[in-house]
Amino acid sequence: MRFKDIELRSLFPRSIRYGANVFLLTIFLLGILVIINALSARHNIRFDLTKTKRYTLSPQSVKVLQGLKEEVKAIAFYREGEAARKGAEDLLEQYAYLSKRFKYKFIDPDRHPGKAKKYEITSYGIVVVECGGKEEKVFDLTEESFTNAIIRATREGRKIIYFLQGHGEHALDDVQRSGYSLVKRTIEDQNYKVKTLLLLREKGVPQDAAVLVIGGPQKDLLPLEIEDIKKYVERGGKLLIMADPYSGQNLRRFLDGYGLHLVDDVIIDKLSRVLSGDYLTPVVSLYENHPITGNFRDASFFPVAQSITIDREPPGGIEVASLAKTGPQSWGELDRERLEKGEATFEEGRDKEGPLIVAAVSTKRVEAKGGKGKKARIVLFGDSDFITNTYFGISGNGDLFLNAVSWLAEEEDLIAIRPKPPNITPIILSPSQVRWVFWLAVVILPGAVILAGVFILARRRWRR
Amino acid sequence: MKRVWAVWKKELRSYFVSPIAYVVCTGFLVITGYFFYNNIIYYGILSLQAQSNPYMIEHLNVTEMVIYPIFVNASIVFIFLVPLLTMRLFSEEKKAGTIEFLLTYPVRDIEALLGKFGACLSIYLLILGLDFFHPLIVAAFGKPELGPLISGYLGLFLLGVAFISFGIFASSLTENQIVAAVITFGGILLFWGLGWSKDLVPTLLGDILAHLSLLNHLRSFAKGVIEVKGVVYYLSFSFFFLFLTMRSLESKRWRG
Repeated sequence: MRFKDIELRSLFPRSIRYGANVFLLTIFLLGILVIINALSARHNIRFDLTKTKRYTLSPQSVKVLQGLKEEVKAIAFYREGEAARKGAEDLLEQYAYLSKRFKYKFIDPDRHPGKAKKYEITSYGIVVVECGGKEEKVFDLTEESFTNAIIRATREGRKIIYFLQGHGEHALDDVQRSGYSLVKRTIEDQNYKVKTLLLLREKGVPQDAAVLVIGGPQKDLLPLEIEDIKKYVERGGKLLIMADPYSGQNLRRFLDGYGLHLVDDVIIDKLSRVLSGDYLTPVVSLYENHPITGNFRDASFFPVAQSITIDREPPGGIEVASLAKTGPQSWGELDRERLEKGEATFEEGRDKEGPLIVAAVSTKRVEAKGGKGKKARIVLFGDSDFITNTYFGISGNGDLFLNAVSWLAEEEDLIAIRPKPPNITPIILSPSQVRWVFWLAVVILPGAVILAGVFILARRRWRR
Repeated sequence: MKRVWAVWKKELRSYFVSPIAYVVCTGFLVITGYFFYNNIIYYGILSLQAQSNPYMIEHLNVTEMVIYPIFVNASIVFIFLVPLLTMRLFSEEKKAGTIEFLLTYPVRDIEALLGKFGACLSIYLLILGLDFFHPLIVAAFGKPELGPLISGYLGLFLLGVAFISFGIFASSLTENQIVAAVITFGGILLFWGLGWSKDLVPTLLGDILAHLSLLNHLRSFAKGVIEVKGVVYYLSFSFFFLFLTMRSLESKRWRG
């Protein structure tokens, strides 16, 4: 670049003019490069060359991200330098690449205890998804769990969970020992709305019900109410029933129709005496492989529970499965009189032998309007006290209940993403191969270069 | 173009007749070779253990656990060695006074620059070529994926272009080779680690720092993802410092 301004030429010496010229030119170039880089960072294009496309999100996630209408923020709580952090960053980066509305950042909960407390972070590796005041936590970060958390956080409105009232069920606003106030608070924390339902006053179960919960009715339901509930289930409704021992006939007959049978016994568990001080509070630690209980490890306690049996061959279109069982040393006491006297013992052939089912699920495929197949679902617990204010916080009780509620409420909106097939390529080396690798990589290859160097340099010197 | 070629040949020749290129190359191969050896042995032990652990075996991927570290290790070793390759390019001539010769007729600044740059890059590519021996050893025992190998070497190539550009610039600033090497080493190490403070500063600044970091982009290439923003950054980094080198060479004329 030649500086050609005649007036300036007379004012400044040559070196200053050239210096200023170079300086301006450099700033100009820097400006252009900044713009190019900013553009390339904002409109980045990625090419995933891996065989299994492990750094590319599935079409389901892409669709969710393209549909984002509001800004979604993710905060990942990982320790600095934690091994799992790199994988998390690889994953979140792909979400940010696909949508300008998705932002993420990493926070070390040890260094920012205030933030960790605000989001109630209890362990490392939790990712919080935030959208318009709603919060969703991901505990086990995978593409599937994270995309579903985005779906839940961005959903408009809140799903409504109805609790049936009018038969002496546990009250939602009761803060005493046997109340459900903790249940209500925790469900609301999970972005659901909680409402009570008096069936006799309504025309059937409301259309906006995501789940109907029947929490320990003391009196039997009226045939009219059963009729309404049946209609609800038959249109693809989701039902959660917690029935204590000696519950009403109508309810039991209704459940029989879906392959679930309340036995009307009381479970006695000798082992639970050790853990909780009462024979009548069976410990449950055998969980089946089902979305509700799949990753569940904690034991749960069911004070005064009855056992459930399920049909081996349920009526057409219905599938039943057990969720949780008591231990083998428990039994179902059928003799009510002796039980009340406190002298119940296991009578072979009369009482039911453990393990006993305390929670089960029944699924029925129903035809909904518009020809779309929907699935009606019923989750049944043989006890309603396990989530009262007294027991909700004990071991896995609360989580087991919440898992059931969210499974019932979410099932149809959430998506399943199969994990990428792993590309397993093990290498097994024999001791002699190990030696070979060492010689090749550390000795022979560098040695060849040194030899070539010595040879070439020596030859030059020799020639001179 | 002919003159670029002439400079390129002369420079390449001087690399081969001085011990530096051999020492750098050998040093590189010993260090990365030893890291590689440790890695593949460790992976072999993991493979054995995984035979009895179904959870572990799903994560057993030779591309991620053996090939990826090859690229990252190589890039770290280059931080130390590239300054040794670039330090003498202009410093030496400046000291010897041949820069006057360069500045006067037959060769223009840009031709000298391109020739020297090309010669240094050739040595760099030669080292990369020898480094390819390591994936070959892996391929003898297992099945590394081809895609990440391509993107990884592309990343190392771009990274080398950036390193060398910065090194040439540093060597054009001073006639002392040691000073040139120290400036190069310090400079690329600084740009290397810029992204480390990403999470400690506000988001936008953190994103900018992460983008300016030479390491962050290399990671994507090494794991098998080519990102356009990485290519653009490496090229603009190189272009900027080559531009500054040109200005630095020119300044000899007007500073007098």
